[in-house]
Order: sequence, then structure tokens, then C-alpha cells
Amino acid sequence: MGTANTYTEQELVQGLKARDQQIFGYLYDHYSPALYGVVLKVLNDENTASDVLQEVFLKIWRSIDKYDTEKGRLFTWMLNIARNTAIDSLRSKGHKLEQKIQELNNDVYLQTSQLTVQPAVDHLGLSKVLEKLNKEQRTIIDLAYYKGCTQEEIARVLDIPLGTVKTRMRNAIIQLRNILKQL
Amino acid sequence: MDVQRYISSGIIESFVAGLATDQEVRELQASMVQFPEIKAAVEAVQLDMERYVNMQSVTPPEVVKDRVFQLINNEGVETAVPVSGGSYSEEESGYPDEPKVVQLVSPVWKYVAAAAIIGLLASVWMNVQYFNSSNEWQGKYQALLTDKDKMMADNQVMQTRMDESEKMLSTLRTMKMVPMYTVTPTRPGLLATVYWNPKSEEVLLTVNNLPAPAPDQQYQLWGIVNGKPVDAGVFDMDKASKGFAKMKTMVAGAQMFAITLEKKGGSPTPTLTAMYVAGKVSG
Repeated sequence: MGTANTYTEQELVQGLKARDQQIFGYLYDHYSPALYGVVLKVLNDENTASDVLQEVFLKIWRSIDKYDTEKGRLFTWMLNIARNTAIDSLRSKGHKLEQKIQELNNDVYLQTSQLTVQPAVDHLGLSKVLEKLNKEQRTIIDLAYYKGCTQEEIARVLDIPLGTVKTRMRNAIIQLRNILKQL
Repeated sequence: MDVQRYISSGIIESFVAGLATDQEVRELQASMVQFPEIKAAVEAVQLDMERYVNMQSVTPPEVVKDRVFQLINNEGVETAVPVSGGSYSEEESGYPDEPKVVQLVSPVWKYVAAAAIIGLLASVWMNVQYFNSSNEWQGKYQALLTDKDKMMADNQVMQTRMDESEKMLSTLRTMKMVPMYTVTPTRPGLLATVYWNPKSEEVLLTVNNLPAPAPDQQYQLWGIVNGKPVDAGVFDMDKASKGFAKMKTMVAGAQMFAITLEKKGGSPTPTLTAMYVAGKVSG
């Protein structure tokens, strides 16, 4: 969203609630790469990801009346829809935990060759982030956010006591935030 | 609530990463309303997480946008949402002019009917389930009632035994103890003890060591009053060797107690050759 927004968030929400297709088109153009990025990383499969992205935008269009400004920003709300829809789809496929880890490790969309042809990706920033996060930090964040793993599952994967998962998560995200600050 | 501690507990990061449990989410949302610093902390972490997520953006295939718009446009016709955007009253007024409305009615009824039938079937099924489970519960309830009655009865028996024991213990304290030892060297080490209250004339007997009698025989207790044996009754070995056997009363003048082995049911006079143990009442 480096391009100058011609709409404020409030205008976007109002437009959507009024079923303004022009506004919806604008919303799609600006946010679909971020949402597709989430969906694709969750599912690791382009075909399913396209279907799920379509579902995500239909949900946004249909349930905008449920969006509550008080509860957070529009982008957060849309990300949640994308993440939840994709994770639901992942669960319906019954992926095993090991498979999820495998997918995160073999994430083809993070390969530089792919990144160069995807202009939406801030690949320089991302590669810096990935360089500075250690494997455990990246795993804990990605397993939770992109694979919808529970605290129990993460404790099992990292072989750490359940009670320390939240602390590890905090440390990982603090590290992530420090890296982002330096970009 | 210690806000700083809560903020640094990792709960916020877990929430933003989608790791928090439902309960933790509810807790956090409640404290966000209550404490602005928690809300600010959540928003700060959220912003950075979104930045990280945003960095991994990928442009979706062109076709998705077309499909989405096609779908919402079709939807627009079906539900008569005005494309130009407008109030909901236009949406309602849009209905009568549409020829499709007529077609819309019948599919809706089809669904309603289908739903009603499914609902009915589900209800029948539920009733059967309830009937079965209610029968099952009825049986379990009866079993429980029987168990309860049995336990009450058992309890009653225990209570009676307890009362008896307690009474016996307090009686024992006031009784004279008369140990009876072996009388013939051929049968060494025998011992039985009489507890006797000369006032109430009550007699209890406990057997410490006596050989088991033959099936057609029984031990009999005697009190010796002024040199003459007085029957104190036969007793059940099992009861007397495990606890106390209540014997016939014995008059205050008894100077001795003795046990002889007699035929089953006892004898009017003791068989002196078969006297096993005897003991003097102490002054």
C-alpha cells in the first residue's frame, strides 16, 4: 500500500456498507495481494488459494455490516477473515502437523526467483527479516499465524514445556519488531 | 490487575499471532476495554505483525477479481441490491418490478418445505433417541435405587454392630476379668477369659486358645458357686474366639469359672475329666 490512498478507512467502510462496487474494486486492488499472501502461505497451493481468496472477498462484501470500527482496523478485520477462511480450508484437508512444518520449510513463494516476478512483495525487507529471525522464532510465529497451530502443537514441535510457549512467542515477536524497526 | 505484568506475559503476542485460546482472547478483549495501555500495546504489536504479513504479499491471478465481481453482481440481482449503491428502501422497492421475483418465490418454498421435512425427521429421530435413552436412564435409576436400599440396610447392620461393640466396651470396663488356664498337663498353653459383673450377673467369654471341638461336641462354661458347678451355657467357638460370646448370667457368689467339653447342646452336669481350663475369681 505504498501508493497514495485516495480513500480514508472510514470512507472505505462507508462505501462498502453502501454496497459501492467502485470502492470494493479499490479495496480489492489494494488489499488482495496481502490477503492472497496470507491465504497462499497457509495453503501452499495456488489453485485452492485462488478459490479461498475469492471466498474471502465475498465474505468481506457480505459481512461488512458486522465489521465494528471500535474493535480494530479494517485491514486487521480482513486479515482475520483471510487467515480464518484459509485455515478452515486447511483443516478440512486434514493436514498433519508434520506436513505443516514441511510446507513452511518448502515455501516456494519465498524463493527469490518467485519474488522478483511478484512486484507486490517487499522482498528486500522480507529477506532481511528472515535473515535475522532465528529458525525457532520464525517457526513459532509462522506455525501459529499461518498454520493455526495450537499452543500444545507448538510445544510439541519445538519440544518445549507448554507453559513456555507464550514467552517464546513474545520473544520471537519482540525480535521481529526490533528487526522491522531497523528497516 | 498488574497491567505491566499482563502486558509482558506474552498473552498479547500470542493473541496477535492467533495462538491465544478462546478464554485468553475474551480476557484480553475485556482488559483492552478497561486499560488503554493494554489496548495500545495490542495495537502496536498488531501493526508490526501486519507489516510482516504484508511483506509476504503475492499478487493474485487476475481471474479472481473477475470471478468475485461476477458473483457479487449476480448476488446483486438475486437480492436486488442496487449496483449504484443506495439505501435499503430502494432494495425493497426493487422487488415487485422484477419478473424474477415470481421465480424466486417457488425455490424458497421448496427450501422451506425441505427444511420442514428435515426438521420433522430430525424431531422423530430425536424422540426415538430420547425414548431409548429415557428407558436406559430408567433402568439405571432403578439400579441406583436398589443399590441405595442395600446400602441403607448394610448401614443399619453396621450401626447395630457398632452400638453393640460400644456397649460391650463400656461394659467390659466395669467387669471382673477371670483368666482361665490349662488344668491338665496333657493340654498345655490353653487360655480363655471370662468377664463377669457380679452385680448385674452378666457374663462374657472370650477364647484365646482352645482346640476346635469335634462336630458333635461343644464347650460349656461353668461357674463354681460354693463348690457346686452352675451352668453358664454352651458357646459358639467361632464367635468366642474372634470376639466375645454372651453367656448365661452368673450369681454373685461364684468363686471360679471353668470350661468342659460336652456333647452338643451341653450337659446338666460337667464332665470333669473333660475340663480344659479353669480360673479363680480374684478377691
